[in-house]
Amino acid sequence: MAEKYKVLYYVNQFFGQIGGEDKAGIEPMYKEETVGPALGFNGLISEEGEVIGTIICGDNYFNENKEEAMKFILDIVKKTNPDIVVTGPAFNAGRYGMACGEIAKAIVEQLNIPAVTGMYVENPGVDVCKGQVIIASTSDSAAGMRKALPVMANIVKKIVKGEELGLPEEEGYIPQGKRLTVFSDKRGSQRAVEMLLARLNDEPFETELPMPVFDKVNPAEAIKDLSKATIALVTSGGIVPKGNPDRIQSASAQKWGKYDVSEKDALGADYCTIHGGYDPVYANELPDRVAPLDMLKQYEKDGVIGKVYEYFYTTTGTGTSVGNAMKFGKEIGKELKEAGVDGVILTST
Amino acid sequence: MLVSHPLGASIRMLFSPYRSIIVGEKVEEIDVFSVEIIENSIISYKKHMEVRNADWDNKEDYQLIDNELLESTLKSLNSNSCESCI
Amino acid sequence: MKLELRRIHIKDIQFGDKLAVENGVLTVNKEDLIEKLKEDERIKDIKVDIARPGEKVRIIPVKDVIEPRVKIEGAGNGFPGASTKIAQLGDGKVNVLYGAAVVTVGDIVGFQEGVVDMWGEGAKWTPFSKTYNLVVDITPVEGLDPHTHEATVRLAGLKAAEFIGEAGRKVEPDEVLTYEMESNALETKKYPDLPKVLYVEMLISQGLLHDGYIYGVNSQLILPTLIHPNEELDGAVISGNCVAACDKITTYQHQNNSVILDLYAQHGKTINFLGVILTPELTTLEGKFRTCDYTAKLCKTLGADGVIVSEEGYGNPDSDLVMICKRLENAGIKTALITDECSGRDGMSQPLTDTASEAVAVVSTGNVSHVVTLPPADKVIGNAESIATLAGGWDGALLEDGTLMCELNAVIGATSEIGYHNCTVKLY
Repeated sequence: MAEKYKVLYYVNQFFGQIGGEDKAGIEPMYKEETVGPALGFNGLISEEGEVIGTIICGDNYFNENKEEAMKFILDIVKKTNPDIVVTGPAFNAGRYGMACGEIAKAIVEQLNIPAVTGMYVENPGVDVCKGQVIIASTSDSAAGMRKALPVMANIVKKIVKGEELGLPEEEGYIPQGKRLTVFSDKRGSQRAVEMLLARLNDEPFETELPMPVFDKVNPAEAIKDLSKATIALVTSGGIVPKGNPDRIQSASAQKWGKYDVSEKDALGADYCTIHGGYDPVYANELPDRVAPLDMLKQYEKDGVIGKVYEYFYTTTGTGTSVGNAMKFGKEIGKELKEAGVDGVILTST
Repeated sequence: MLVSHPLGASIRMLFSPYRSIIVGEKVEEIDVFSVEIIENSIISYKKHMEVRNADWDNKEDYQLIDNELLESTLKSLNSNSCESCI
Repeated sequence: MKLELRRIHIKDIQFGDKLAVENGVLTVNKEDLIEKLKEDERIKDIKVDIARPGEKVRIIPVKDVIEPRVKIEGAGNGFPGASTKIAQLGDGKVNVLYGAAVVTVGDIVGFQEGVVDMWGEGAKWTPFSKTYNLVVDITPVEGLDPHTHEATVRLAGLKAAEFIGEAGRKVEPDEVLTYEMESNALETKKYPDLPKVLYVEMLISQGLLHDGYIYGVNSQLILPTLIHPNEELDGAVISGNCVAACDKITTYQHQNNSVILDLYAQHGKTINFLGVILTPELTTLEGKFRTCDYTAKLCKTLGADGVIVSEEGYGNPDSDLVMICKRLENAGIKTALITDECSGRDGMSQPLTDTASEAVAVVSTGNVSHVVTLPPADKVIGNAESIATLAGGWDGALLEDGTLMCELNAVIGATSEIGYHNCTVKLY
C-alpha cells in the first residue's frame, strides 16, 4: 500500500483546546496528535493521507512575538517534513486569521511546501496570504466548521496529487486575484451581445471584468474660522500610553483607546507605539511623529486653531478588519460630534 | 492643466523611451480630472515597465513616431479655434 | 441597404500561370501581381509568398490583413475613397474569397510587431493561422518620408486584395449571406417592441501608424459618425494602425466585423439594430470630451436602449471607453463594453487604466501581458530580426534554438477588442 501523504496542522489556543482569551498569550507547542479540527480533518483524508501532528500557539503570543513564534513553527515544519500544511480555519477571527495567513505564507515562500487555510472573506488575514496560499471560503463563525473542513480537505487532496484546481467558485476557495487568459467557446462579440441582451431583458449576467468598488464618503463642509475651532487628534498608528493600559492589540485591533491629553504639551516620553506594522524606533523616540499632539498644541498657543480637544483617540490599523474599522470610526465620531469638536486630524501609518 | 493624455494608445508605445505630453498654462485651481489621469497613467506605466526595459534599440524610430504624434496633436489643437486659446 | 456577401470557400493557394479559383483552390500568378503593384513608382521591390494553416511558418511583422473580394454588382469595387474612386458602399453583391487573406509585411519602423504563427502554440492565439495567407512583402524606394512610406504599404495591400479578388468574379459561391436593413424608421415600424441597439466602434486616431480611414478620410479629422453596418461590411473602413498587434482592428476584421455580424444575426429577432457609430480615439483631453459627449448624444438622439462599445488599443483610449460608458449609463442607456486588459505577467495587477463603477457589463478579451512560448519556425516570412523585438525587453526571452517567449500583445488579433477572437479571462 502506498505511503500516506503527511499533513501538518496549525491551530490557536482555543481550537487547540488550551483555553480562551485568557490563554491567548501561550507560547507555541507541538503535539504529535490530532487536536481540535485536526482530528476531523484527519478523518476526511484518512484514505490517502494523515495528519502527523498539531502545532498550537496563542494568538496574542504569535502577533506580539512573531520572530520567535515563526522560528519555532518553521523548525517543526522542517523537522517533520510534511507534504502540505493546513492552518485554521480562522473564520472571521482577525488575530487568528493573521497568524494562519502569515504562517502559511512563510511556509510556502521559505520552505516551498504548499499550504491551505480557511477564512471568512472579510478576515484581514486574507490579503496577507491569498497570492501564495489557497484560502477556503468559510462562514464567519465556528459554526461553519462542519462545512469548512471538507472543502479544505478536497483542496488539499488535489494539491498533493498535483491536480489543477478549478475555478474558485467550483472548488470553494477565495479568489487569489490571478486573472488568467483562457479560451472561451464563444467569441468575444457574441458574449457581448448576449450580455447586453440579458441586461435589456433584466436577466442576470456576469461581467468578465469586475470594476473595483470604492467606498465614497462625502467630505464635511470646510471649517469657516479655524482660529475658533476645536480640533481633535485621532490615530490608527497604535500610539498608546506607556504600558498599554487598555491592552490595545498590535494588529487586528478589537478596541480603541481614549486618553486625557489636556495637561500635556506633547505625547512625549509618556507614550509609545504598540503598532505591529512598522519599525517602532522613531515612533518610540518621539510618538508625536505619528500623532502630532506637539504641533497641535503649538497651533493652539499661536492662535491658529481655537483649542485642542482634551481627549486623544487611538487604535491600531494594521490587519484590522474593515468591519471593525467602520465600527470604531462611528463610535469615535459619535463622541467627538457630541463633544462639539469641529475637525479631526486623523493620522495613519 | 493637462492638454494631451500622458499615455500612448497601445502597449507597444509604452516601451518607447519618448513620450511628449502637452500641458497648458498654469491655473490656480487644481483640475481633478487631470490629476486622476496623471496618477492612473503613472500607475499603468509602472505596472508594465517594472518588468521590462524600454526599447532603446529602436530609439530613433520611437523619436520619429513621438514627433509625428506630437505634430498631429498640435495640428488638431491649432485647427480647433477654442483649443488654441488654452 | 441590401448587401450580399457571397462566400467562395478557399481550401488552398498556389502559384501558377493564371489568376483563378477552381474547386476552392486559388491560383495566383506571382509576376502579374508584382507587376501590378509596382505600377506605384514608390515601390522598389515586392516579394510574394504563401503561408498555409499547419505549416511551420512564421509571418512577421504584419502590417495589415485584408480579405480579397470583388464587387460583381453595385457600386464601389476595391476600397472607395482609399484605393479606388469614391462610391457609395453597402448595396450590391460581393464575391468573397472566404478563407484567403492578403497579409502585408514590411516594417515602417523597427519596433513594429505583429506575428502570425501558422502552427503550434502561436496558432491558437491568432485567427489568421486558419486563413490561407498570401503574404506580400513591400520594400519602398529609398528616401520616402514616413507618411508616404506608410501610405505606400497601406495602398499596396488594398490593391493586392483587389487584384486577387478578381479571381472570384465568375465563380459560384458556396454560401450567400444577405445583410438587409432599411431606414431606422421603417425597421422600427416592423419591430416596434424590440429594444434598439447601437454599436459604438472606437478607432485609434492619433497620428502616423495610429490611423483609421473611413471612405479614405482620416478618422482623426471626424466627429463621431453614424454609418450603416453594410458600409463597413462592404469595405468603407480600413486600418492605418500599425501598433498594438493584439488589439488593432485589421482591415480584414473591419470587413468581417464580428460585433456587426453578431448584432445583425439578432436583428428582427431580439433587437432592432440601429447602426454603427464610428468614434475616433483622440489624444487631447478636449478631444476626448468632445467625442465622448458627441457619441453619447448620438446614441440618445437615435433612441438607443442598449449600446455595445468596443475599444481599439490600450492606454489612453481606456479613458474614452470609460467616459462613453458613464455618459450612456447615466442617460439610462444600458451598455456592454468589450476591451482587453493588462493584468501583468502574473495576472495580479489592476486590469484597466481607468475604471468606472458604471461599467457593470464588460467582456474581457484577454490579458495582453499573458506570456506565450513560441517554438522555432522552419520558415520566417518577413523580417526574422523582428523576432528579437517581439521577445525584447527581458533576458532569457529568446533562446538559442529559436524558441521565444513573448507577450500576447505581439500576436496579431490575439485580444481583439471587437471580440473577433475567443479569448476571455477568468479569476483564479
